Amino acid sequence: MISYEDAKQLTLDRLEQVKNSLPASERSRPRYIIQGKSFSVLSLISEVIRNTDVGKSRVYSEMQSLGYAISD
Amino acid sequence: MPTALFFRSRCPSYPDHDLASAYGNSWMLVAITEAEARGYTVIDISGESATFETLKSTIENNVIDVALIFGHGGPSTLTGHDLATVLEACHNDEVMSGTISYFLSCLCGQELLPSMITKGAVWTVGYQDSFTFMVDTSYPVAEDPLAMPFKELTVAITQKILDGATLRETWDAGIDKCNELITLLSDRPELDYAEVIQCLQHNRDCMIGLGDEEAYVLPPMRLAAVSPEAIFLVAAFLVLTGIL
Repeated sequence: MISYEDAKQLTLDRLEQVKNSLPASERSRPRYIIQGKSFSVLSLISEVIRNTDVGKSRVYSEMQSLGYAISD
Repeated sequence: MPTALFFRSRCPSYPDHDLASAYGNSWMLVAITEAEARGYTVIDISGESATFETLKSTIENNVIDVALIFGHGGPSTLTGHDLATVLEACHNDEVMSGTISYFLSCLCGQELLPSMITKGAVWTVGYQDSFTFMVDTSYPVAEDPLAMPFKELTVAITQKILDGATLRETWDAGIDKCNELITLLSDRPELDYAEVIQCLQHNRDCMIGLGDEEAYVLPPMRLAAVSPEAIFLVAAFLVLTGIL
């Protein structure tokens, strides 16, 4: 089990890792399709920080793939 | 010949959504080729025609054996051209009555698809959450390596339906394809593919199948293969019983 705040931070850490692996020019290029909309790594980081539906969805998906259940 | 209805929407007025539409349309084009190769009569509703009115009149004026749908979805809705609502749970979804369908659409497995089943749809497969995928826009849509696993998943499911699979067989084919791709991509060291695997796991876990577990589409090739035998047996029976 992991708290949502910890899960969110872990998700942001992973997205930062992805961002840093990309050339600067590609960080704002569409990369993810979530709920039918396209997001760059930068815009997805923003969604997670702002706790939007897409951001929360990313946090849950990230934890699911890591085998964590979110406690709250 | 059995008829396969394809519904493919675009949303040119909404660039953030139209990128996903470009991929969905491209994958459905592959499914159209598969349907044509199997001898299905194909009806393709796409572009500005992707509206409720066109869908309704097409279903009313043709016997639709299978409907393969791509459009942006919500929990209770499917949208068409420029995100105009096409189907809405408990409102107009009875038009899908009698169909076997696959919805490549986000979220509509929550309310729309269950509602369709209560209105007489035979069976359907779709997604309870977002159908999530990854793109590399430096490649043409049809050749994008990051999106390729999701194209393969879509094609595997549509092929299975077109081959006459039951609901369970179709759902299993989707799950198996996800697992196969996850195993295959697990060997890739690139961070990109770790994210692709995450998307595949997500799509696998939110795939839903609802409806009649026995029904299937009788594919044209199976019709062609079975018919001569059936005709011979009937003729032999009639001769032996003295009717002919």
